[in-house]
Amino acid sequence: MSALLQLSWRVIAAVFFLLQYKQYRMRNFKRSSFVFITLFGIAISIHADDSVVTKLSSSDGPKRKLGPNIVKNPSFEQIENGKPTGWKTSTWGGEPKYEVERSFARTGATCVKISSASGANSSWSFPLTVKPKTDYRASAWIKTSNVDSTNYGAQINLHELQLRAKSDSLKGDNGWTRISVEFNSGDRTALLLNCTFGGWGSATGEAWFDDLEVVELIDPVLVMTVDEKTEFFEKKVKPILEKNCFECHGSGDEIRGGLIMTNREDLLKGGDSGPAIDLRDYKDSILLSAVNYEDYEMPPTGQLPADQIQILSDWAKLGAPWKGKGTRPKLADSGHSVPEVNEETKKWWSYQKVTRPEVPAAITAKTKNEIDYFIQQVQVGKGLKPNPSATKEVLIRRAYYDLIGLPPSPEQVAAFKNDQSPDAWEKLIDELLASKHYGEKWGRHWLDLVRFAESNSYERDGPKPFVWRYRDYVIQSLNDDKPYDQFVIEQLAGDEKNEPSREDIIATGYYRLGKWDDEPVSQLQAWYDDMDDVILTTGQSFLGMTINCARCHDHKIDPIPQADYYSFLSFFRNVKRYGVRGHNTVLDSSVRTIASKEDAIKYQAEVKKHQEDIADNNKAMAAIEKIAKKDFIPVEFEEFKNENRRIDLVKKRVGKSITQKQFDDYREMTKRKRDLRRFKPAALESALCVKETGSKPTDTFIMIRGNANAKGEKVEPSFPSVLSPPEPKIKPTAEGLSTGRRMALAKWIASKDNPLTARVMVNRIWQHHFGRGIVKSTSDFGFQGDLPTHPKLLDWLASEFTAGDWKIKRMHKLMMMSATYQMSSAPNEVALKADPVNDYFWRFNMRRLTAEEIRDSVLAVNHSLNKEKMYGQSIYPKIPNEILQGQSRPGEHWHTSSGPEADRRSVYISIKRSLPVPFMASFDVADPDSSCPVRFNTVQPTQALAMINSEFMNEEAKVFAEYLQKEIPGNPSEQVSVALSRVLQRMPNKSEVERGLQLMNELKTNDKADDREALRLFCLVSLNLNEFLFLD
Amino acid sequence: MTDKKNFCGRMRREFMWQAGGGFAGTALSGMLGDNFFANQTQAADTDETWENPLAPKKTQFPAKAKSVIFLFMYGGPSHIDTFDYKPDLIGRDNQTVKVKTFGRGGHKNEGRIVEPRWKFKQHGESGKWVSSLFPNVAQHVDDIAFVHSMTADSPIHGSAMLQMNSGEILSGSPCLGSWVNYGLGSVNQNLPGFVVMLDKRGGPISGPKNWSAGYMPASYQATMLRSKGTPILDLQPRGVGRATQRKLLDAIQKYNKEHILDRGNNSDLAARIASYELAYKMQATAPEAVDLSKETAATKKMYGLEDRNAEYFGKQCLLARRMVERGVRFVQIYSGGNHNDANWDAHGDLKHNHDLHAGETDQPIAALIKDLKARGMFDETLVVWGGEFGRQPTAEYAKGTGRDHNAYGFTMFMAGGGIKGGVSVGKTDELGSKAIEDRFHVRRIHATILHQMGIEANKLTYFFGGLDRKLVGVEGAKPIDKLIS
Repeated sequence: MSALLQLSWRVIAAVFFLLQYKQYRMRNFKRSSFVFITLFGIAISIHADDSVVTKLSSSDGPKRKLGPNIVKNPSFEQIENGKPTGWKTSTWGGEPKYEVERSFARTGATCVKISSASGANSSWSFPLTVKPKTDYRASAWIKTSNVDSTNYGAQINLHELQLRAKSDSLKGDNGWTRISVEFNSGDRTALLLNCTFGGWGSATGEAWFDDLEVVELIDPVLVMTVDEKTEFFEKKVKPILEKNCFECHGSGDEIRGGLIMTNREDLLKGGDSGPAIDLRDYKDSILLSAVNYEDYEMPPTGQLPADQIQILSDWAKLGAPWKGKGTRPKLADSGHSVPEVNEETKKWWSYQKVTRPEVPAAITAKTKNEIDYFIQQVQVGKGLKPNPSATKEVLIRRAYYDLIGLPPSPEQVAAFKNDQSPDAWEKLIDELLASKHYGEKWGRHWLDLVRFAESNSYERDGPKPFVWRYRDYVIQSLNDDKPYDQFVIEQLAGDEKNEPSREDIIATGYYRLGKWDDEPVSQLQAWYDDMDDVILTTGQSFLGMTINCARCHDHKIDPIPQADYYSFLSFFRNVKRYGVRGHNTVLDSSVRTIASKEDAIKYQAEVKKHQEDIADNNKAMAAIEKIAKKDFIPVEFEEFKNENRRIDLVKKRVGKSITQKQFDDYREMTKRKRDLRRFKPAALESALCVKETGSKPTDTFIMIRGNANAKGEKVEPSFPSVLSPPEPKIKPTAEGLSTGRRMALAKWIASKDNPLTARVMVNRIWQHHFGRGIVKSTSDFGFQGDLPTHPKLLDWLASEFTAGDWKIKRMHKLMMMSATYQMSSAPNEVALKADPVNDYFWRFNMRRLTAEEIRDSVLAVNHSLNKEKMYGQSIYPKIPNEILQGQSRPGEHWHTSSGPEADRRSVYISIKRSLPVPFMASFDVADPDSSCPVRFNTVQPTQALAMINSEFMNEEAKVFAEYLQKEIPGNPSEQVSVALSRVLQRMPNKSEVERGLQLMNELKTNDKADDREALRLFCLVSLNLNEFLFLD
Repeated sequence: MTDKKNFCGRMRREFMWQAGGGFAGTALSGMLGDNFFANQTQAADTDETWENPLAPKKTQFPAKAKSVIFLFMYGGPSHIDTFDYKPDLIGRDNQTVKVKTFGRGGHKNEGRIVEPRWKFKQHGESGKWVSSLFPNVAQHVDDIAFVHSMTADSPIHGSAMLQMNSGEILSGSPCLGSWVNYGLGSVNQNLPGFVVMLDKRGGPISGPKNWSAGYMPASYQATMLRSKGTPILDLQPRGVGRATQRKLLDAIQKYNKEHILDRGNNSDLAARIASYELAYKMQATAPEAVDLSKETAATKKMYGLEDRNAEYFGKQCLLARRMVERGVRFVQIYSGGNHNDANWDAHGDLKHNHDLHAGETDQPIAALIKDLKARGMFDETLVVWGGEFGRQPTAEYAKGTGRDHNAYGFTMFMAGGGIKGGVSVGKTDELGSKAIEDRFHVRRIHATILHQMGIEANKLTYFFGGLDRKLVGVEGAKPIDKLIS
């Protein structure tokens, strides 16, 4: 135990120990209490006096052997100059009388005596030489006469250990009585043994002491001979291991947790979690915490009986003696070892600083900008030729969807087609980049990465307050073409800026977008789980690094040691959990007002006024009620408790105790009371945001195996070591609300020198224009990720990005102005054979519209999309009842929108984690529980069913038909033509129109459809076309 | 076809043809070989533009079971009042006892015993003790294997439900049924491979999260099957007959076939054309599958369709059998919905609560076992019974019989699908407060279910977020050998 306390990194354990002193048993370390203490971060400094009393209970093992008595002259038989040899007296207070008693003794001829008439605190003392960290027992025989004390009477104690090492005390009259105390010497080598009289107080009367004894309590296992030890292993330990451990840890076909227990060497080397037995201090052994079910629960099928646990504990204490060599399983080579951070691994391509590559010379005349030079340089080597340019109809559609996620109208298509000017394309791009709908499209890509959702998942899946402001912030930032470095800094540390703006605060809602279990099994573990989610999202989204894989052990594939994970975590160490339980805790931990100071003052005044109004009104009402109450019968008092009944009770007395005027007033005031309740001053604007526990950083430790209760080494903030990063520059914030650590992290991520940030972001921009990233694994630039198909192009784009002040719109334009972007997507047999998956961009990649684009397009082509209303609270499209029935409270938190509100763009659809909108889900919207860098792209019959049978599609087809009938009444051919031109964004050919007309005629002739219904069904057909859902 | 690889080396083709397996889809063929992960990524290197994905996937080793029917007793049935006989508790009602418990009311060190409120009797050749709550199920104990030593990581509904369904207490992972369909595909492409049926009182806590595909494509999530009205969302044409719809589809296909002419190598377009035909077939198949009119009166009676209490769950059990007959891989039925006493969550009046829910389910469950046996389907259909946790032996409040949640020990049972009958494994202590012998974590049940389906849980992986994810977690889990015949 003392050794445990000695380790400084276990100071909290020591705090725990002091609080739990009485119940304390090393192996019964209670996780729950531990959690409580660290969770609330109680900082109790302890005086590091390591010597503490142990209750050496018999359950600790076999009976202990006793060492020799280390008290010299224990029975006071040697007397020199009238004093017992080696003994001295100590007076702590009062007037004691010390004597050598010669008239009687318990043994031998003499003993010692202390007495006092007026009161004393005093002792006969003997200086002991002790072994440190050793258990001892001190005992004595005491006789008393008429002892009285303000505190303790006669007893023994160890002076330096004070109250923690004292025997029972005797008062009154006692014959010779043996008292004793057991203690551990801790770090000390010397202790003063006291025979005290009146300890911690003042005693009167007489006390005699004799036959002192202090003996070492020798642990029998420690005095075993080598042979005894191996026999102990063979007979006692090995059978336990064989029966319970070997199957998974050495003799079975699989090694669990990397731990082999069938030989001593491997056992001490340990598995993924470290050595099974800690030879420095056996009590820290994972084997022991596992069999005691403290974190691991081993064996998992049921806890071992106490005697077997004791055997294992004794064995560990002995240093795990073994007999023979043991066995070592033949292991299939796992293929790789964990990569270390070294000069070799540091050479990985994405860890190198971006250097601007030289732009290759133009190869063909068809190139338009540098991108094409890079692309064609590779193509030439592969014998590939780029596709010709796509038609203008294809291009305008591609540009519209890629930049604003909406289809062009027939008029816009015509205008572009007719614009013969050489810069028609450039003008189109500029126009779309300036569109306010650009942010609605590209914001969604970002929201996928940061797993944006508006509820918390789990049992309640409650709504996140004000989270929509974060969504608006993202859209607005993109529309404003905010430099990406700023965008990063605002989200990670906007609140740590000097005088943060309301936007800065809203941006930090970034930390609050994840899941939140408001009723976790362990709050402490839940904090780490939440932060892991933040690390995963931050590492992958901003840096393309899977730092999250190093939470429980060193990263198995990338050179990211576990320590780097916790160093990274330390930047977030003071971040408060989203909430503890209940809405108010969320307000405390994650919501701040973003109103101006003036507004805040105004608001306070309004609230005050409102409260006064209520009080005044109540007072006036009470005055009238008082009159009325005078002649209440008992039942009326009861009735009066119901507020709604009061007015009648008052009315009954009009003309009696109450005048008509009084009643009229009362009625007015009743109404006013209701109004006052209903119309409160408008609340101050607030935002969901990050908050820290304060500016003083809490220590961060490696958590062994990712277990929140298993502390390892302490770590300091630092960036992933394989990147050879600079030291973080940390400055606490001016307001003292937070550590400033997140700002240090944000600045490093947003730095031009960061090898990953710019590469990762330009790659994402490329991904959403060209269908895949230059690095296909867009959130993993590590060893496991894909290599860039065009590394030089990627680096050139990254350097362009930072050189252009991190402006995103500029990058769009750069990419879209290339010939590579403007290519046709048509197949080409030769190229398909050479490069079937288009690794070298010889053609443009076709793509299906996203879920949002499909829904928005349906609404756009039928002319009902409410695209003017942007921002604000989310919308709730109708979810079919059969789906709502799946909720435990059907319909809860889903406030179905209606009218134009329901027709807003899909980026405004509320995202409830447990209730995805089925139409959107079937078209692969991102699952909001985790960061989504690339969406799935499925084709499945549920999509077909939704597209032809859903209420939504059938309703929208009807709206479409009504629009066509209104615009082009009585002209079916034109109606079909316009419908197709709106859906396909090109002029339909004759046979396409003809086919539509034929269908309508057939429906009218043979299926009893009237004109309206026939047109509606044709509209439905048109919205189901592949050409509508796919872009060339 | 555009790019072949997606994030983390997953192949786009893998997701494109979920259509192949009907609703829930198929994964790559050959993915369950010994070198499963290598195959998963290697397959991405081929670029066949068209592959018939309709065939069900091979299992790793011969499967015992073809389908699973998971009877989910939502809310947490009390093990000591049903199948975990605790004679030591008898006569000790209201005694205070030292016992560590952890439920929604937090950690406690002592409590007041609530003696089981139902009488136990021995049944069958195995002499299994079963309480009077399940007189009909008791007739089949020799076909059932009970696990009395279940443990879970959370005693809170939200996270415990997630764990029983997805293995993890954290939200976001695919459910057991999703894994089964990911691993095995579906043999009937005209029906969903994973269906869920809910209690009439509503869904369970967390709703659709309990049958979601998590980080897998949504195609692997369960389809909610209703026993009344249209069985599946958007299954039926709206406002038009089937013949008219055929005409609409023909028109769509004509346009689409013209469109694909110049884009012949794009398999997404072809897949989408095919998906309409599949959808059309499903419109005919699914209603037939839920049509009970061809079932005999005796069958309906056996399932309790004439009994007001048992009718709803009975019909669902009968539907489950019909689904399984038609090749559906995974059926989950919830007993209990909504909150509190609308499910097995007996915090208040234990007697009232369990009488109600056992009364609704006992006869249908027994009928299901009997019916599967009579039809020769029992051996290849794995029936699983259990809730997200059990209940404590002591009272939750100072008064009354309500029991709080208990994840330290509880009972589940399995039957059919190659599971031994008439056995009980594992033990709780004499109070039933915690498992003490042969403890089995939820993951062990999952591993057992997968094993019976011919899949080794430790080898069924899905690469996501930088990790090879498994249903049974990074540490893995083995099946419970003692249950397997």
